[in-house]
Amino acid sequence: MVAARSEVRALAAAVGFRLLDQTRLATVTSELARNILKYAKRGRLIAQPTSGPQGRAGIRLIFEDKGPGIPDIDAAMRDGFTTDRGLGKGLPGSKRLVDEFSIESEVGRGTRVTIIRWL
Amino acid sequence: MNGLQRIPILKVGRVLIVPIQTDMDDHTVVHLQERILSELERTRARGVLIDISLLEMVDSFIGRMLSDIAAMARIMDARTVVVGIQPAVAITLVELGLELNGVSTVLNVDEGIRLLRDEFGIDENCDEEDAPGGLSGFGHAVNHP
Amino acid sequence: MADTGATTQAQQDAERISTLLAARRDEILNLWIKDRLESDEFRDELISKKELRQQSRNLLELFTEAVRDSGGEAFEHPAFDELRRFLNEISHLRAVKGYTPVENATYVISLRNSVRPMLVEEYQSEDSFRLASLLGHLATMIDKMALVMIENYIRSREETIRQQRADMMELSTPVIKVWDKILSLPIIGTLDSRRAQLMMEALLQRIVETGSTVAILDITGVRTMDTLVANHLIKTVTAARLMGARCVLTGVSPAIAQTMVQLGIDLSQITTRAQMSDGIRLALELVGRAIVPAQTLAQLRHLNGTAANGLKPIEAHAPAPGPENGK
Repeated sequence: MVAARSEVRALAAAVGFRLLDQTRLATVTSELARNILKYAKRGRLIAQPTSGPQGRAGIRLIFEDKGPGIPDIDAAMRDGFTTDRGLGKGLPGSKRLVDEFSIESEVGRGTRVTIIRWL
Repeated sequence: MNGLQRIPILKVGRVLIVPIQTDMDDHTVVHLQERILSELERTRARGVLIDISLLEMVDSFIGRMLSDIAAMARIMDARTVVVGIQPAVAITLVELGLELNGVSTVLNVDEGIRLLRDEFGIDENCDEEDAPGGLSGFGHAVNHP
Repeated sequence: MADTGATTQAQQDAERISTLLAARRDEILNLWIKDRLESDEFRDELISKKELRQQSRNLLELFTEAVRDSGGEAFEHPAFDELRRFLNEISHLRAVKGYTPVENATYVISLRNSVRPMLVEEYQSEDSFRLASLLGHLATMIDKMALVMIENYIRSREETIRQQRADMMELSTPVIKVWDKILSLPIIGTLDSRRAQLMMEALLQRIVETGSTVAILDITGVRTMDTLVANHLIKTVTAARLMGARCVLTGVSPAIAQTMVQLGIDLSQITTRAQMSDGIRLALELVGRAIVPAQTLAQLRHLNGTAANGLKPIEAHAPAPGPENGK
């Protein structure tokens, strides 16, 4: 996982993100990759530069696994944590670190979280 | 994989100093926590100073480790100070929603030592067990004025 | 253009218009330019007759071609791309020269006045429906052209404004070192997300650089407080706290205080003071200093020198007190 963070950071730097955004992306990678390891044991991270409307540059990260899936996505996305305990999936926090966040999940099939951060 | 990252735990007077210099994987984090607590018990240190000024990222796992160490150390009558949270890390932590409750945070090691001394009476220069504010063993209930 | 199959009304209209535009090109051009030159709005200091003629000729040509190739399709059709490009170009050129968007639009619309009478003349024997359709088709295209000119103008203005705002933001986030370990960040004007972000980063960076433990955030100059601004403030204060710096919020007007309470903002984490001066006093206390009247200071030094409390003074043999001990 350390490797994943470093690679994401390196890619972010290459795209032109500053330190703060690189840190955000490395942190998000850590959170979401951990979910994969925790619930699905194995999965995939795809990191790619992307461009959006009006030629904006950015980075897209896709976290995929064939794990158990998330039965209630709304509940998972609710920010019910006021202490540092039982952080669950850390999804709401991760969402705050990025510009675009989408999650698809099917019980028994797997989960895919896609995030985008624009330059 | 565990043995590769050996984070030093130094003892200076009654304070344990833990300089974390590299990005840690989850195993290292868990292992470090165990080591700190066992050192606390072994040395009966009264302060733990965790220096993360070289850490470029603190995620929820590491954040929770810091909170847990502070809580467990407190039970052992030791205070924890986290030192050197970088601006990018501070912002990310806030955005993640991590507040690091129960953890004192300061800018650098000097401030950390000062905090331990001034606020908690933990003197890094003193090695005796019955220094002012000292205790005589671990596990006692904490009711110091 | 296509003769096979049934021609739609639109196709016929387009064909008729383009044919007329091509056939009576010079006439149209002269009429159009004359109309412009004689209008009240013509500004000969901005464009020469020659330039105007050249520009108009090009426009007319592109327009003719576009209509011909469009086959009656609407303005969004690729046949109009070249024309659209040209319109954007001259809109930009004219904006630079100082034309207003209304002038630009009028320039284009006045072309219709030249073409319309000729169309009527040519097809006056048509039934009223067909004639109406024909004129309508012309009008639609001309209107769209005028819109392109206006849109382009607005877009480049917004770009200029955006750039100016960026420049202003750079200038407006000063973090000042007030004293040893004390920083001050005066917040002025409206706070938007981007500016608040910049301020937060600037403050945190300075905290690291100066090793400060107190930051005074002065919001005297902040006019309105909404949830967004408040959240940014809280975020900044929390991040600063993680770095070991305590924030003091000063210049909180009664109105803003009320708003903050109503918004349900948790003020337990933030120390507030009404006046900047109170904030400074508190900040000094927090770093172990105080402001005392000079007279009091003199008295203190005097006491120190004469051992009033019976203990041996620190510098019994020192000359009259000069600079502070230890400095």
